[in-house]
Amino acid sequence: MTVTAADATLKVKRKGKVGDPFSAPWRRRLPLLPALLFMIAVTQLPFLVSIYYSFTNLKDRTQSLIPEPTKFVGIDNYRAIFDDPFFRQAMWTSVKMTVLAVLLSLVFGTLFAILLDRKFVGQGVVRTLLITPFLLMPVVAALIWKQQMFSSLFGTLDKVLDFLGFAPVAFISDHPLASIVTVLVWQWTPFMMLIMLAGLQSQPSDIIEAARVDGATPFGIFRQLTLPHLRRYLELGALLGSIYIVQAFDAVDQMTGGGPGSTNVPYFVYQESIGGGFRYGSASAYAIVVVVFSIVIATFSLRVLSGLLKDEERA
Amino acid sequence: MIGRRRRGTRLGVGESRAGMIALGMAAWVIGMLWIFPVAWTRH
Repeated sequence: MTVTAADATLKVKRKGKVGDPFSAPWRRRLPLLPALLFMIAVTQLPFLVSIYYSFTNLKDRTQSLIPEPTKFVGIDNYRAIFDDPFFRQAMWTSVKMTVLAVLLSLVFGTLFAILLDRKFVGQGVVRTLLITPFLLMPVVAALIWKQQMFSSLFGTLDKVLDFLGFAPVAFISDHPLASIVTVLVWQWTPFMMLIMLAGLQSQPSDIIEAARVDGATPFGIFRQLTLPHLRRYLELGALLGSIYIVQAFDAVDQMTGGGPGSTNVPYFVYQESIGGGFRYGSASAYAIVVVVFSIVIATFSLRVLSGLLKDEERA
Repeated sequence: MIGRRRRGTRLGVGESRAGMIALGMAAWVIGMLWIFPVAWTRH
């Protein structure tokens, strides 16, 4: 193999000098720079401004009769957070809402994925029917359930209960958290189903067939072969679902407007700021605390997840 | 039997035709129930 002069020149050009903005690696990176700057401008700068606001008593001056000047208050906003019973209640509601919605979505998603993981007439149509709720905007899903399913006046569920001879139930007024969780489960089950379906389709069929030949029952195969195989997919679904569902806002806003027992942390921060409180300083502190908690939980979960995956690879 | 074409899904070990049909029908019922709130939307 001979090296021509052109090849040698190309190699020198590609290598370039370290930090030279006209070297080949930098010429590849430069087109990404506008996107990077845009991302920093729309995500990181507002976060930094929120951190600054969280150390001030910033309020909407147009909302008070005697406007107060904005001043630096140190960590007063952070101190007040943990004494606030409403915030503790919102945290607890967020935990219940997220845990219930994620667990139920995972269970239904796994069951639906098992049903879809076989050939039958109209398999593609059924898959589309099941995925559709996930494609709806959250606010639309919440309105559909509020107006057409849960409504005491013309809701379908009460009509069904009436037809079956049961007394009507005021779902949203009497069971606000359960109503919101129902909508979240309805929307997020397809997401979990897709993850589980990917897991089921990656399972080698020869092992299942060998187990059947050996006389294993369907439940035994599921418990001892399918479920261990799905573990990493279940963990991934739980992690991604938790990250998204903990931010649920639309369902709370549209269905209960933060009624008793249904105010979660995002809705609480909204109420504290542009939703009527107009206390931007303390609302920023609440938001920062929630972000820090979320990062800690997500980092911990990701470490657990990657540790489990490594263990499985070693095994 | 030469020349007769096999119809339907090929069954695996331990699978029954009736079981496959029942699970397919269950999938259809769940699919229809899941889409119901959207399909019921009045325009």
